[in-house]
Amino acid sequence: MTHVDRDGLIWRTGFACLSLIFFAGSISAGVVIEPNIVYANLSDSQSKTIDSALKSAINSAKPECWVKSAGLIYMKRRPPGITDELIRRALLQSSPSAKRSLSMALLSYRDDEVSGFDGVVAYADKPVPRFVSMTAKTLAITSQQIADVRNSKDVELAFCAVKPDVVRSP
Amino acid sequence: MTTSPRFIRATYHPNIQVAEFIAEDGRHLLRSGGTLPWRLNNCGDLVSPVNSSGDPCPRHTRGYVGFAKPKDNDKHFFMFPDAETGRRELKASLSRKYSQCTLPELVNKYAPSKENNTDKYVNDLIKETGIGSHEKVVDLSDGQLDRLVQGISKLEGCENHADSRREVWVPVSCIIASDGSRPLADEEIVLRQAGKDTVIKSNQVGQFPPIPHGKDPIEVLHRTADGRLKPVGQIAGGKGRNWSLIAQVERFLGVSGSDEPPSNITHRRQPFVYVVQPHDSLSKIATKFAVSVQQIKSDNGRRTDLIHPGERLGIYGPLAPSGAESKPKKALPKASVTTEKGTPTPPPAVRQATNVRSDEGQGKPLAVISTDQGRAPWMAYAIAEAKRHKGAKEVEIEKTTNYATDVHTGQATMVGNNHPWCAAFVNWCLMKAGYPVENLSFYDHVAAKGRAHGFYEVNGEKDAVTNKASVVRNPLFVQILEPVYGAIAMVTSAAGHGHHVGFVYAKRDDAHVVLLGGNQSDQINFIDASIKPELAVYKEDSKGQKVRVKKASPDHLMFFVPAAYAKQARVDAAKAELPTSSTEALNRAFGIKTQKKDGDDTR
Repeated sequence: MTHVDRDGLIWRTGFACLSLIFFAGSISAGVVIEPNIVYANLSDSQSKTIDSALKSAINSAKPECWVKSAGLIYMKRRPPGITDELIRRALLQSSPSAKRSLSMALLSYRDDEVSGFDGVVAYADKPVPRFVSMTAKTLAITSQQIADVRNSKDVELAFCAVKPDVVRSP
Repeated sequence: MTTSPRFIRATYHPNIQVAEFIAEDGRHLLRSGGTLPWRLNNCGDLVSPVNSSGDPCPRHTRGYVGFAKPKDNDKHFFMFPDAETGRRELKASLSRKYSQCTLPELVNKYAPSKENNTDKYVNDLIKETGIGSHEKVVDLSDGQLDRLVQGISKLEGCENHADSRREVWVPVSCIIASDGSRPLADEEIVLRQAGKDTVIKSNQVGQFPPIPHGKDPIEVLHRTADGRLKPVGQIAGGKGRNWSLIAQVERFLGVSGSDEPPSNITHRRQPFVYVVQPHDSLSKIATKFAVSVQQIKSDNGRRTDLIHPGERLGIYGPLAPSGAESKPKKALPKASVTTEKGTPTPPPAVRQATNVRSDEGQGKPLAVISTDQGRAPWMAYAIAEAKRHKGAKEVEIEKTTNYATDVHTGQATMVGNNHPWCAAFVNWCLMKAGYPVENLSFYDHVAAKGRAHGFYEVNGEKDAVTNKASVVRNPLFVQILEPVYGAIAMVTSAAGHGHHVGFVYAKRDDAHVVLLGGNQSDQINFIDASIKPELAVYKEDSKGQKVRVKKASPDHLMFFVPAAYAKQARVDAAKAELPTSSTEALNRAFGIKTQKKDGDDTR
């Protein structure tokens, strides 16, 4: 006398889906070296000096804190929905709802080169010239004053201090 | 059995009617006598459904550790680790399948009249349980269900013949055949116990069947080239162990001994594939094989003298066309090296010596040269893949090779942020080189092959009460303290969890190694990794203020090699220093394209 263990398709399919969700959430195996970042210049003057200093630093032969070709900074391009106003509210006014919206927009963005951004770096000149950043997911805000905006090394060091962590999965 | 260690696997030996339970500490429990339900801890005679191949394919039932197919019976009975689990699964099964049945209806389905005296079964069950014949299973209380399980268990004869029950704990030892660096398939050993010899052979990945310890010590003997049996070890004592049988005798291929080559030996030197080893240079290789650097370059279509470990070079002729799709290699057979068309040629399993004669192919042998390509044979596959894909993203790689499905990690795709494949890539290279990657005895052995942490620890059996899996050290890999060429490097968090894995290829400096791996920014490429946790880095700005330019990182590396490679790894750690290189130079040298077309990291 025996008793056979049988079941239906719905249960099997359900279990398969649950397994997939479980494994997708529980396994992280791989590595991302540098973050993908959205950059915004929020200064009143919209001076391009800082922007070019940052671009030169990132693309220099030996960047201080950037592994070449391992990440991307969107300076001119801007993912839809990520406006200066949203960045201002999230980074400078620390609005929780703006931070959540920004994080969602960063992580969900996709194009040919980017599968999600890890954070935002913004330049603000009031009350003092500084970089402010927000890391997606963790919503951590970091700020670093720029010692001398005319000194490209100071610009690079300040950027390094606020560079968002990599938070997207490999 | 309640105080016994956790069982992770079980098998049934139908000819001698013995159930064998394998504990996570390596011991085996043999159960004989009693009844089949008792021997299997399956008091309800629960049977697994089968798939189209006739293999057991359980759907609902959990907690089993194996299946038993008794002699003269087509059914696959579940084997549970203990009686309690068996009862729990019977109870779950009754609730699941017969919830709307009364006791007589249940018995008619559960114990059909063609196999049983159904009426007697119903009456006995009602008497045993006190449950009314009109009560439905769904309406039974927990206590009544327990009584029903107990009643079925009794009627199925689980408790019969208690005086004939026998349980024997047997320590078991496991042996892997290796030449010190690679597993050896079809290797024979002789087990001599009480004057009786038994011959056993290693399987495709060098593993011998588990050897139960007996009352008398078991002498392990290995047959030498001249046919003599040479003792290599002894299995005895109360504790099983895992060990590698290192082939004691190096085997040499080709002619040897004679100053004059036999007249039927071809005068033309046979082309072969040489896998570049760490610290090799073209001139060293040219000298080794008495050929000019120019000839090697010409044969291999190279314009520069730059070579890298793991690359394949045709010696005495061009390389055969290479593709990457191939079936997994078995561990190489004892005395032959086969080459699969279109795949990187693995290094030989045995130390191969080549008789090189003069250019004319005459005269005395120049030397018996060991090509000694035993160092990390899997690296040839990793390098071949890196060169083949040239930095392509995972979406492109998957069009030709899906490492996850090839090694069966249970993951269908490598594409996307939620589909890691670094561990699959490492396992794929090891599998291609003929090293075992599968731990069949672990219940989640499929998923373990896709986890970076799986090279260190895997999940054992789940606790029935807490539903928490025990953690078991993966016996297929040996941890080493220093990085050696080809070692599996697990990037480990402060909490001790591995979250990335790749192969050690070179060192950048004393604190960093260069890893070759997959799913590194969605590519197969080279990256730097810090051996130890790193402190934050501060620099001064123009006003003398300290600015933190790099955060502290708790990530560090743990190193592993396949168990069969442990001896070679020890040799490498003692003698062979890692070559120094940089990720930029290596990525460039292997044609690994970066994702930026114009060298600009901004958009």
